[in-house]
Amino acid sequence: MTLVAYLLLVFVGAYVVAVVEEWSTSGRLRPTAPLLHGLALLARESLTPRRHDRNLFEAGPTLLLVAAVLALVALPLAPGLLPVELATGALWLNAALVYVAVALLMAGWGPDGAYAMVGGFRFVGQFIGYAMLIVMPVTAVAMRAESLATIAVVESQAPLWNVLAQPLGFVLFLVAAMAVCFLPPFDQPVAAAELAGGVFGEYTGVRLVVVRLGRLVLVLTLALSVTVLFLGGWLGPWLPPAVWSLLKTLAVVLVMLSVGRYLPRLRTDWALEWGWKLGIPLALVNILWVGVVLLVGPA
Amino acid sequence: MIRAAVVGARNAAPRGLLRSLALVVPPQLDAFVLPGMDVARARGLDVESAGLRPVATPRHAAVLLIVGELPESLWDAATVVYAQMARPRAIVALGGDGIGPLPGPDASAAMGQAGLEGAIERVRRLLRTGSWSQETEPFEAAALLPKRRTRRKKKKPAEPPAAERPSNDGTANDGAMHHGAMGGGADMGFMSMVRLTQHLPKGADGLPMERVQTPFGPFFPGLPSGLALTLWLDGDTVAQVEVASPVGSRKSDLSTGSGDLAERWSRRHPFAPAAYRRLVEAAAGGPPLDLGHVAALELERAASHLNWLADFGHLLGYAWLERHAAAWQRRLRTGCDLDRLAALEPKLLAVLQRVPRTPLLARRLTGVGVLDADELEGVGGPVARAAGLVRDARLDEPRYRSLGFEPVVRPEGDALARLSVRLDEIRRSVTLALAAYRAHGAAGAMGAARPEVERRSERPVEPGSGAVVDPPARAARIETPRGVAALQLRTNGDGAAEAVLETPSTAVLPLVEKLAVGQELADALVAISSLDLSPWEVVQ
Repeated sequence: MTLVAYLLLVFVGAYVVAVVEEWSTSGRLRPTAPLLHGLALLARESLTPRRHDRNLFEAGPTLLLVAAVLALVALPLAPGLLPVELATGALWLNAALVYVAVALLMAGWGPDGAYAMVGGFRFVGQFIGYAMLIVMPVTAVAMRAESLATIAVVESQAPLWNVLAQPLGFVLFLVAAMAVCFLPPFDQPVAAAELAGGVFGEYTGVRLVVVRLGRLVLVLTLALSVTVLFLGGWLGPWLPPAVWSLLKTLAVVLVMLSVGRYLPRLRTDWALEWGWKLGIPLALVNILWVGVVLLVGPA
Repeated sequence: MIRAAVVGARNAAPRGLLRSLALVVPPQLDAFVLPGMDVARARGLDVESAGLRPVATPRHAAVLLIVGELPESLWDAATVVYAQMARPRAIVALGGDGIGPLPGPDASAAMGQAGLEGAIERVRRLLRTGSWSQETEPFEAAALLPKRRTRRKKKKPAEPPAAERPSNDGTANDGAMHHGAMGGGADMGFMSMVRLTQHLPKGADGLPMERVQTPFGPFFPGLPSGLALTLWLDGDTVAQVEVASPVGSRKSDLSTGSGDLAERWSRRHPFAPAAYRRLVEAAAGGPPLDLGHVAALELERAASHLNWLADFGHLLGYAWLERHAAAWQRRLRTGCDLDRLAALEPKLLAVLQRVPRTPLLARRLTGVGVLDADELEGVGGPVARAAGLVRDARLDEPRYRSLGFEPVVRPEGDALARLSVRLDEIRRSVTLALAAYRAHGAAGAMGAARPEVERRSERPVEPGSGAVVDPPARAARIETPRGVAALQLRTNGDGAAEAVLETPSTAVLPLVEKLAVGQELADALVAISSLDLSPWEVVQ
């Protein structure tokens, strides 16, 4: 029952993300627009390119959705609202997100088109740049919680949220989270004006619905992971715990979807250069900082 | 005849749940715009407020919006775009029915925002009731048919006799990636990467890579509409470029055609109609440049630069810039009176001041598409001025000198310099337009400033013999938003007899290859876009 309720919440959450995205791009709040767009897409033809690789073409969008949902199930909304309680939940999150790169590579190669293929490989190139920036801040968070269980991570933030205890780790993780979701300014794989839609440019109809749903769930997943790992999860006064989680997640979604509108798209080589030359040393500093605080700070 | 379904309806009868889904029409229809958003904006259209959402690929579009008459040279490409769209799909034609071999439009209207909104409303009604039909005609893009047939033949080859089968030395390989056929031979026990790749060209990093030939344009969203590039991609790097401008004019076409030459030329150049109108008028012996002309030309320059800025923002993924530049462009294009422009000027200046302060923007553009002054023989406009060359036909005009005009010049020669020059020019153009109008004492609609041509209806007569002779050729130059356009015109009583035109984009077009080859795709597109060339004014 918890799983069903949780999945229902996931789809409601993804819908809210779609409404926020619509608002951030058009400047208008139209609560029904994503629903109508989705339904209209279902009635459209679902075309396949002439010489596509059927397995990869079909599996790419599905894998994106599956990877996003898999990463999500290890993240708690409230103490009793966690579908799968894993002792290694934070590690599970990392492992599931790796399949996003696989999904985009498959979706890029599958259609046998140049734009999609370049987009797929751009994502992989970019992923090399920031993959460690997902893993290393999570390591520091787990150090403070002395556990990889996501419930324990939230509980460890009762005295002080990680966003204040580890601000450097928070910034690095948030930036990497936006890159995993290929949101602007990290949207090289789907750049409209450079690659005419890129990785997902060849998908139409039902397949496009799966693609868009997968991306929305991915944004939701990463926003919730920021909430759980750095913003104290469900912790907060007066309101029910799940409401706190949802409000914080919504705030993170707003930030993730808005920031890129005011910046030019980053180049892939910047993602690599900054990830490796700047991001990883800073993440190491963050780990060192957390270690020192744990050793010399109050018990 | 009242149409019951869109011409691109799904060819079936919806069943079950699909019957309900077929009735759903979203608040904004995804649209692919031909020949491009730049032309739509230049025509004063706001496609988003009309209920359309521009998309980057025809695959995602439900509506094909055709703005103006498509030149015949674009018909094949337009049919390919239409064929790529998923059904149900509709066509909306604005400002003319010249849409070539495409099926008749589902809605058409005169050019203008009201016409667009009415046409979209009609299409919405059609989609709601007629997105499925069992009477839909199939559509095949003629441009795709020969290739498809060739491929079909290749798909099912007749089994060759054993003696004729391709050898395993790689020479008879047709591109299929069979390990043995790529060079190792049947007895090779492992797949040698060296042999697999030894026949491939090497990229800039020395690694062998199969190059992918990819068409970009003439409707590619990151390039000026009408510009057709073929790029050979070595990974994400451009290894080779072929450039074409299918919408450009042939030299022989300039003198032909019926009707008023100034009017025809102004229609032909969507981004600078007033400049080309004035050029023809000046070459035809029209009145000298007055302050009214100056105001109209400067307003057009500002609007043209803002239109480019919107495209540039779109290419860079900088949504804020795209939206604001497009909105300001529309305000200037669709006519605003002097008082309103004076009131709006500070807000426009605030937007323009914010652009260079955008984080990462300077870093993104510095060193991209660098052009040295000695590479710019014959090139003018912002491209030359951004490379330190003071080339501006306005310097020769007394009217401009009286307004204290000075050209904007920067020395760097890269994409950032070109952006900076255009931002400064927008500011100065608006200021000049305001000053010119105040000095001219003209209030009212600025966009309507269209001075009349002084028509010379009598041909000169040779003294003595009294024979009618051809008049001497007249020459005129004007600083368009993209640089100097020069025209030599020999006219008779009925219109143009002979025209020789030099345009800024003709001189800039050869730079595309130089800027693109060896660059990453993103940088190549940014460099090309920073040239702001208009394929519509290329003379071949």
